[in-house]
Amino acid sequence: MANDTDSMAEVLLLAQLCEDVARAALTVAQDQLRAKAIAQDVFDQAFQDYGLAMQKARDLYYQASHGLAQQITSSADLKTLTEQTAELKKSLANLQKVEHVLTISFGVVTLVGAVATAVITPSSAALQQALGAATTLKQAITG
Amino acid sequence: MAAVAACLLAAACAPSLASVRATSGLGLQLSAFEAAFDLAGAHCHYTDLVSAPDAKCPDLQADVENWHAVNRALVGYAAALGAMADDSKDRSEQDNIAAALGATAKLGKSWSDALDANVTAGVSRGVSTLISGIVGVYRRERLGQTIRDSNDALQAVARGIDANILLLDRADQNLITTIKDTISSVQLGNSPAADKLGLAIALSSVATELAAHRVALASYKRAIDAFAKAHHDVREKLSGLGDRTADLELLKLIASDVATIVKSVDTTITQPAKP
Repeated sequence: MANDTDSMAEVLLLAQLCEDVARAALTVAQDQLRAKAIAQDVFDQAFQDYGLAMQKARDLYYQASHGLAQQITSSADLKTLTEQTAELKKSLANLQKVEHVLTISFGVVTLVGAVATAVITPSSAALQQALGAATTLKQAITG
Repeated sequence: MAAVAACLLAAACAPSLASVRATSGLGLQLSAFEAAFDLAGAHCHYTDLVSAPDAKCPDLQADVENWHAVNRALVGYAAALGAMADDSKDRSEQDNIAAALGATAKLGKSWSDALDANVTAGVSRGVSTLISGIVGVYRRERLGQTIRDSNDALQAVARGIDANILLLDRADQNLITTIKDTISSVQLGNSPAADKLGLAIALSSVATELAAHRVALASYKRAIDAFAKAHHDVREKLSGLGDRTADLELLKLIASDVATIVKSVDTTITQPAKP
């Protein structure tokens, strides 16, 4: 095993952060539905996006023992991605008002999918894509 | 002369029989967990009805038979240890248990890529070594060498099982979280009240099943970790044993390690899902 408990913990942390971001986006959509700020079909789409993001996060758990996954999480770039994902989680939790909830929920699916790809089949292009997805989601949140 | 010296050496180096029997007892408890991973594939498919089928699920299902064999090898090895440590008679009931389990413990299929190949290769090599410790005549003279030869194998198998438990537990937790969020989302929707209630009850029962599976995984982790640590303790003390004092000290050490492992697994794996 490429090692070690720390590397495994980093993969698990990243997967957990992806889950947290997905749940935060769903909470935003739920609040919007409660306030009747969005229609039922918009919420349905947001919920589907949430389900997909959670599934992709789960795939990260299934793959977390892989040496390749652990090597890539040791890179500084992926640590940056972990930090950015943690920031996105905070931003979503503090979000008071949102215009385009589906842009956010789609942005979350894209981010978690890109993170999963970067970890499971790592390459510099996949990593850049994940970092790009994080930037796009940040823009969607901050408007 | 050489034969006498060998006999004396074997007696002097033989581990405490009581501590080996205690270790064997810990290993025999693993028999309750042969099916511990059986539901992983089914759980993985739960969300396929609403999302795209998860490509990882078939891998989890594919490894089930191999995990059964791994568990049989562990229990068979534990039974063999117990039989070798039982010098009250030439053969014991445990001889038969060990032989029967050893015969069905061979890994049939190649592993999927659910776990890292290094982990599964270590498990496969470990099982093969454990089986070689199971076969043969169970005599006390073989005990020390068997423990020495099998310890690394046992630790590798335990690491593989631990890795699988850690990942499946996280996956179960993810599903439980998804179900809770689904319930709260269903209750926000515009479906009739009866539908909402029915869905909530059905989903709750699935969540309960998943929670029970997590508890079973945690129990399996406690059992395998306790067996592996006790075996390691016995292996470490092989050269210094043979008297009652050492026996008592080793039993205390094993008991203390088991208590620590139980506490540690409880705090790391059975945390409730975040609200």
